[in-house]
Amino acid sequence: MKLLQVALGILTAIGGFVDIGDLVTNALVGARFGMSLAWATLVGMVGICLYAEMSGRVAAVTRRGTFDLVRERLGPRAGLANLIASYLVTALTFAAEIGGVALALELATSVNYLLWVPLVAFFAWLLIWRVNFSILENGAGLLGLALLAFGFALWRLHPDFGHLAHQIIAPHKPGSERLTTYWYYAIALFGAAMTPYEVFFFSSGGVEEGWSRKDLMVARLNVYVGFPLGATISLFIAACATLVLKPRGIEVDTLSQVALPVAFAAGKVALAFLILGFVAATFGAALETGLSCGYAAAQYFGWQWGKFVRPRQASRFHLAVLLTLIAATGLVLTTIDPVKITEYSVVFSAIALPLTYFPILVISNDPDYMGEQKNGRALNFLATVFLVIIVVASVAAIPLMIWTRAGQ
Amino acid sequence: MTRRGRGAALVLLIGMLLLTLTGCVGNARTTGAYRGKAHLSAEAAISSLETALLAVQTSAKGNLFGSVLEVTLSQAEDDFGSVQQQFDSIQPPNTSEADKLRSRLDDLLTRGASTLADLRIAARRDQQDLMVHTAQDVQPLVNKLDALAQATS
Amino acid sequence: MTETSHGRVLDLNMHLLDRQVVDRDGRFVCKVDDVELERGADGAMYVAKILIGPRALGPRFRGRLGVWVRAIAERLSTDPIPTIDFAVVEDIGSAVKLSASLDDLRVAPLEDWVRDHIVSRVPGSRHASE
Repeated sequence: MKLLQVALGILTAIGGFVDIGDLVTNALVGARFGMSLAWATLVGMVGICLYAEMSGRVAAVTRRGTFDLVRERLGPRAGLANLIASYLVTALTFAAEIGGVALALELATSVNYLLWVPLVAFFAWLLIWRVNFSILENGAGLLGLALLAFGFALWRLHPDFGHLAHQIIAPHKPGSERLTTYWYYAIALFGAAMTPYEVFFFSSGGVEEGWSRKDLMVARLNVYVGFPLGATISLFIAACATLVLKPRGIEVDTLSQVALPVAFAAGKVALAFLILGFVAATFGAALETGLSCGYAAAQYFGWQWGKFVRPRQASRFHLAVLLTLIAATGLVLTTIDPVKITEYSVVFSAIALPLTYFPILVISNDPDYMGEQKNGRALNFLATVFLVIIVVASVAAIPLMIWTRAGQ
Repeated sequence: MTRRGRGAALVLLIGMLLLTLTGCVGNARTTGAYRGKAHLSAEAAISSLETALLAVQTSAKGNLFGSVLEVTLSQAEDDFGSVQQQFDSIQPPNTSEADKLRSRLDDLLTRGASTLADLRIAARRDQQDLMVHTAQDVQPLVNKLDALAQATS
Repeated sequence: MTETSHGRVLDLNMHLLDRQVVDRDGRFVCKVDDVELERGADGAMYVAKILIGPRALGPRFRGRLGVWVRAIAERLSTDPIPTIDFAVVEDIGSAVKLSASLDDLRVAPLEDWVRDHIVSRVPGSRHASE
């Protein structure tokens, strides 16, 4: 029974760790830069593994959520800065995910995506309001496994794996692209791989599911197996784009272009799985981002939060989620291209990363909260290295965005 | 930094951000700048045309659902249309080279727009053969656009 | 205060401020947004009350931000700042545990308002998620 639980956790992790940001950014980068930026996805993967594990461990040991502890440990002002940055970025990501679901449904039905948006928003609210947390997570995660269609398509393309591997290990920026654009997209890939919401959703989710110290092993397996497999799917996406879109000079700015390589290489059945995977992954991420906005506010202000209590008992939490949903839906309904929203959301995620990650490092090191479960020296060293990397990325992001006109 | 200084810097930063994000298209003062814009437009046009071509080829192989084909073609057409609109709205510098470049690219863009529209219409009418036949016009257009892009790089 | 915590020396910042307050059943009540101190008979400072809400939290932000938060909060409510008497505090650990139940405390007017006017009107608010 325990083994089944672990297996389920891993499977949902794979499916659950790819969202619209990963879909769009990896395809876009693969089509423009080949595999020469795959290293950024891999570095991002290591980063989020480290910080998600810390954040999950904090939840299992203290049985409290990240934001709850951030304010306590760092004070209300630092906590507020953390809250505002995380909330705004996550709300933007929420909008991108809602747009992503609508785009995926448009692909399946050719009904204009704007008509789907209100329906998607309503269902997102309904599921957050009524459906059990574990069912939500496991459902979205398992269905998201359909994205492995990218791997199947890659295999069908019969690539020179050695050549691809060489591009990953020994990256070489394409001559036609400028250095500034190259680094801008490296930052975008960091942001896509290390989205802030995934870390505090993981910790709040751990509290929702009632983790305790004995769940540490499951939590760690979830992280160390799930995220790398999610990163593998990201690399598959980039590789498919490299092999099919790049030679044709196709630049990715629609979800349909992300799907074309799979259809081209592997046919209708794979395409059907892929679209299912799109819908599941983006809808799951929409639920996660929506809940995360609620978690962030509630945990800072001390409100009762979570789906583990009746909605009546967590009124402000549910209201916060609903208001965020309305705002996010409103943004999508202004007809701004959801793919554009996505592209900006990943870069802003990279900018907000230090504010969201630094407190986690502090808390997971605090013996008052963690006791013996606090970070070891090796982990601290690695985590600090990453903190430096994300601070550099965060600081460089805006100048690069201006310089490259958001990647053009 | 003084409070005033910080305020000014912030305003400047926001201003620059807004300028960047609106991707303001305006004048191309020199022929060099105009060539640069033509180059970007040509590449974007190629991207849309190749997307449509790939979709048609995939559909001809029996690998694409009708809905995905339609959505892809109409999105490619919309993207192409906005490339053309953006390029046309740029005021060219007053040289004959710029004028020649403009008319050459404009001609290619107009033909491309019409081909993409034909593809979209054929796809929506489920006229597979007509669509494949129309798609034969795409590659030569792409080649010409590519030549223009090379010449302006 | 209970016997064990009577006279316990606290570092306000580290042990008390911004802590989560939970009731005797473990339900979340609020955060310790601020405290009110009083001088005891022996001359030492004791914590008399826990202050809650934006009007309590606002002044703890330095500068403009604190002024704004307090100004907005003061417009929204003219009732006295919600407080919890420190006598109700049973223990201070990773959270501040009260000996009272959430239902007996009237410290979250916003929660009550949202619940009564918005959340209760939506079907399904009484049921746990299934």
